[in-house]
This record gives sequence, C-alpha cells and structure tokens, in this order.
Amino acid sequence: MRRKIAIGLVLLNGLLAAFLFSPQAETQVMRMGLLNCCKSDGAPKPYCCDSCCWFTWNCNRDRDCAEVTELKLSK
Amino acid sequence: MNRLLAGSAPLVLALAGCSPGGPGHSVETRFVDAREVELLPATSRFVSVRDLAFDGESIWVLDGAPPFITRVSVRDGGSDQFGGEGQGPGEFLTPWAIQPADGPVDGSIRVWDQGNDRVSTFDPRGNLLGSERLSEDGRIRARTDLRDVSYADPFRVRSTGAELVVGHFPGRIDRTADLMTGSLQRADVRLEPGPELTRFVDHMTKSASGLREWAAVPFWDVCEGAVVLWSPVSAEVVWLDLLGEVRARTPVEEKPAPVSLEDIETYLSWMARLELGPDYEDARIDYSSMAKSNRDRFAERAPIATDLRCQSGREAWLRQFDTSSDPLGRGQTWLQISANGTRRRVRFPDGFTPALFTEEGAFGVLEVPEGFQRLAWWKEESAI
Repeated sequence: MRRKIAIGLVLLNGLLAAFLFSPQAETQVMRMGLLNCCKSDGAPKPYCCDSCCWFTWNCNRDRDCAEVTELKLSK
Repeated sequence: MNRLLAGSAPLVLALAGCSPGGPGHSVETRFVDAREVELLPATSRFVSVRDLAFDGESIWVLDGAPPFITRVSVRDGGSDQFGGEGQGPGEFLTPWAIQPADGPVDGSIRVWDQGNDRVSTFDPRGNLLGSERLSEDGRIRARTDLRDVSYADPFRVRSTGAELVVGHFPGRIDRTADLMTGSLQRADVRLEPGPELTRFVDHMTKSASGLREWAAVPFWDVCEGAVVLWSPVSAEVVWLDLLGEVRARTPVEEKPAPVSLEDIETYLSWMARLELGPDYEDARIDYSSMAKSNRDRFAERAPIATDLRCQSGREAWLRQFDTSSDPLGRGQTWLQISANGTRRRVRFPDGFTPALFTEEGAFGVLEVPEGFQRLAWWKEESAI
C-alpha cells in the first residue's frame, strides 16, 4: 500500500512539475477566457471570428458561440 | 454658447494671417493647454460618445448608452435627451451614426442603428417621425467593440443634403485591415449603396491584406459637398467631388515611424485588459516575449493617420499615430491640411478628442473623472 502511495505521489509530483515548467501565461489565460471569445455585432446572436482575441480561446465555428451562449443562459 | 460660434470672420482673417507651413516648409506644433478646453455648460455626462453632428443650430451627441441622443442648442445652451433601448421603431440597440436630416421638419435628425438594422428620424424634441429597416446591402457587420480594438471607423455616415456618403462593406469587419474590402459610396437613407466614389483597396498597400494590426487604412469625411480622403498608399489628402472625380491633392510629408516592441507591448496589455477584465494582471503575462513572438502580426511601420475630420470643403485634420496616450495609436496630435497645401500641427491635451472642427476651434469629447465623458470646446485663443 505504501509503495502505491509513494508511486502515486511521485506521479503527482511529476504532473505538478510539468505545470511548473509549461509556458505559463497564455495556456492559463486561454482556459480562463474560454467563455469570452465570442463577439457581438449588435444583433442578439453572437458570432466567432478568426483571431478576434489574443488571449482567449477562439471558437472554431459560429455554432460554438450559440452553444456557449446557451450554456451561459442555462446557468 | 452662441458666443462660441459668433464672430468667426475676424478669426478667419487671423488664422489666414498666421497659417504656417506649406510644401517644403517645417510644420510648427501648437500645444493646446488643458485650460483652453472648456466644458460646455448644461450638458450631460456620457458613457461612450459614438458620433457628433452639427446642424447649424444644435450639436447632436450620440452616446453608447441610453438615453442615446442628446441635443445641445448653441443658441441658449438648452438640451434635450431621448432614445431608449429596444428593438422597436425609434428604439436602439447599437446606434453608430447621427446626421442632420433634410426633412420632413426643420431640425430633424437621423440615427442609424446596426444592432436592430434600422434608421430612425426624429424632430428636434425627440418625437419619432419615422423608422425604416436598413437595406440588406447597406448593413455593416462589425464587432460592437471594434473601437476598442481598432481605429477603423466603418460606420461613418455623412450627409450631403440630398444624399448620404457611407462606407460599403460586403464582409464582416473584425479588424483594421478588413476595411480593404470596402468602398466609399453614395447611398440613400436606408444605406442602399449607390454610385461608387472610390475603392478603399486602391488607397492601401497590398501588404496590408495580411496584417492584422496597425494597417494603414483610408479615412474620409464630407464637408460642404466635398469628400476628403486620406490615401495612405500615396500619402496624400485627396479632395473628391460627389462623382468621385479628384479635385485636389495635398501630399503629406510625414515619415511613418517604425512600430516598436514597446508599441506592441502597450497594445497587448490593452487587449489583455479587454479580454480578461480588471484582474488581467493576475495572469502575469510576459508581454515582452509575446510582443517579440508576434512581431509579424503587426505592420513594419506605423500608419501616419488614425482618423480624418474635415473642417470645410478645403480644410482637413489628420490624427497622427502615437501610442503614448492610447494603446491603439490614436494620438493627441492632429495635422491641419488645406487643399492649397498649408498646414500646421496641433497637440491637444490628454483626454480631449476633437470631432467637429470649425474656424474658431473644435467641439469634442473630454474624459472626466469616474470614467465619463462630456462635451467640450476648444477655442483657439491665440488666433484672435
């Protein structure tokens, strides 16, 4: 049992180290801004556009915006 | 407030007498002190002014929040406010442009709203006189926060009396370089495109198509029936008639400065604030390395102009690029250019953005504490 816990802790340590040495800002920021990428042109439905945002995830297609909006509304 | 616009004749003479510069001459810079910019009395605070118009008697302010429309009389300083939020006739979602109407009653005003695709006409007291759907071809699809990410202004509408001049864009405008797809056209009230005056792509360098930020794009305005256009490709201010024929050209002998990494860092920091909100500093973004790795997404050289406003049919003002007071490069220095070539440079105090130039000075918007804006007036004292 102790051996399993030790192996588990070693793996966990490795995982944490990977986060520590990963390119910090952009990756974290992109996750944080997942719901903020959609844009509005004044009409009620939002849309997605290529490279609209620098730090947040960009939707792949307009349908993603609608899905994100529905998620927001349902909360 | 009528004093502000009165007595222009002596000022015209004074201005003519001290017009510095000309082709081949050095351009002097006039530094405007903050005390020379006065708030207009009896006007409200605004959230985000989107357009100003002057009809000879009143200044009309189009704000980004309700009440969207404010009329300020230059005769007595009195003001009216109207324009609520909604999708019905006379209501607004995203109004972008305001212009005097040539009827049906004196002092009417028209407002174009890209949010609900309507143009609404009001009398001077705010009574709705009519509301129509915009033409399908006249609609502009652009992100509502475009002015936060670009100095491009695809929404400009200018009246020539009987007709309108507008930018026509078949595609969506998401970034500055997207202006390349458009053209300047005459249009009717519903923005149905009419005869083409010029294509914007003819005034841009070909490399701009691949650029996302700080592309040198054309700007335009209309005064006294003349279209004034900034053409980056030839570095000229071009005066056109309403048939698109060139009537005059004035070269602008400004050297475009290289875009520095500091410029890009300033821009990226602003984008982080927009996208991540007030806590954007918690993300601890390394703007320096990000600027270096994204250098090719910006123009090699900064644009000379980030806006153009005309003062008359033969006078125009170019807003110069500068990131020291605005992360997008909308500088505080404007270059005054006339069709006969005279010119000078005027640097306005931080927080003041002129929008309506007259022979006596300029009406504009002043940032005031708590994040609001107010209507202000720069009267050129030294010209007297």
